[in-house]
Amino acid sequence: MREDTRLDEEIREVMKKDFPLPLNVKSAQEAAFAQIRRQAQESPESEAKKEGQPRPRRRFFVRSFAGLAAVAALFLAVCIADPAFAAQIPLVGRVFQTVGDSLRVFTGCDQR
Amino acid sequence: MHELVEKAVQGDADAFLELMEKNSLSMYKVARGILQNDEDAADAIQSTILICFEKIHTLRKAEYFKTWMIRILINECDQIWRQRKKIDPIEEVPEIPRPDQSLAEFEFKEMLRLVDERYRIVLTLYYEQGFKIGEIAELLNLNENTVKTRLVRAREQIRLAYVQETPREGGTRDERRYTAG
Repeated sequence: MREDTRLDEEIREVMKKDFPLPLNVKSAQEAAFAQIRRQAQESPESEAKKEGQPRPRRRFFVRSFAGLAAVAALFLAVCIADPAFAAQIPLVGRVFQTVGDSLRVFTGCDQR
Repeated sequence: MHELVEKAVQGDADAFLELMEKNSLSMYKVARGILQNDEDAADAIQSTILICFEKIHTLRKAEYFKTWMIRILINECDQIWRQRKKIDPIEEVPEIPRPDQSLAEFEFKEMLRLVDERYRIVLTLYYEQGFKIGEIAELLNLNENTVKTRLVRAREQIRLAYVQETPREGGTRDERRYTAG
C-alpha cells in the first residue's frame, strides 16, 4: 500500500514535470498563433473592438426592435381579423372603427 | 485561468493565445501519449489550437475548458493516427534523444515507453492532467472499469521496469537507471 503510494508519487512527479516544448512542436504552435492573429485582425469583431463600438449593445437594440416589430405585427393581425374587438381598444379602436366602416362602404356590405 | 477562458469565450484573441500558451505543454504530453512521435504531436496541437479558436464561443462554462480542449485534441490525434495507419503500418522506432532535450523530457518519454501503447493515454490523463477515472472514461468513451484496469496495468509495467531498481543508498532519483530495454 505504502509502496503503491510512493510509486504513484514517482509517476506523477515525472509526468507533471515541466520542460520546454520540442522545437517542431513550438514552431507548429507559433504557426497556429500567427494564423489566429491574422484572423483576429481581419475579422470585423476585432475591428469593432478596436474602434470601441459596443457590439453587444447594438445586438441588444436589434433584438429589441425585432421583438417589438413582431408584437406589433401580431396585434395588427388580430385587430384586422376581428374589427369588433379592435373597436373596443382605446385610442387604436377609433382608427379601426373608421377603417372598418370605410371597408364596409367600399365592399358594399352595408345592410342599409 | 478562469478569467482568461471567459475573456477568450467573449472573443478576446490575446486571452485565447495566452490560454493556449499556458496549456501547450499539457497538450503536447497528451498528444505524445497517443501518437508517440513529436511530428504528429505537433500537427495535432496545431490543428487543435485552430479548432479551439474557431469554436471557443460554443463553450458554455469556463470550468469545462480543459476537458473540452483535451477532447478536441484526442479527436485530432485519433484522426492523425488513423491516417498514418492507412499510409503505413505503425512500427515504434525508438527515438534518439535530442542533444537539447532536458532530463525532464527524457524521463517523461521514457516513462511512456515503459508502458503498453493503449495504457499511455490513460496514464497521461490521470497523472499529468489530474483527471478522475470517470472523466477519463467519458473522454475516451470507455467503461470506468476498463480505465481502472489500464491504470493498474500501466502502474504494474512501470513498477516492473522502473521501480524494481531502487536507488542505491544515498543515491539521488536522477541517478536511477531505467531497466526496460
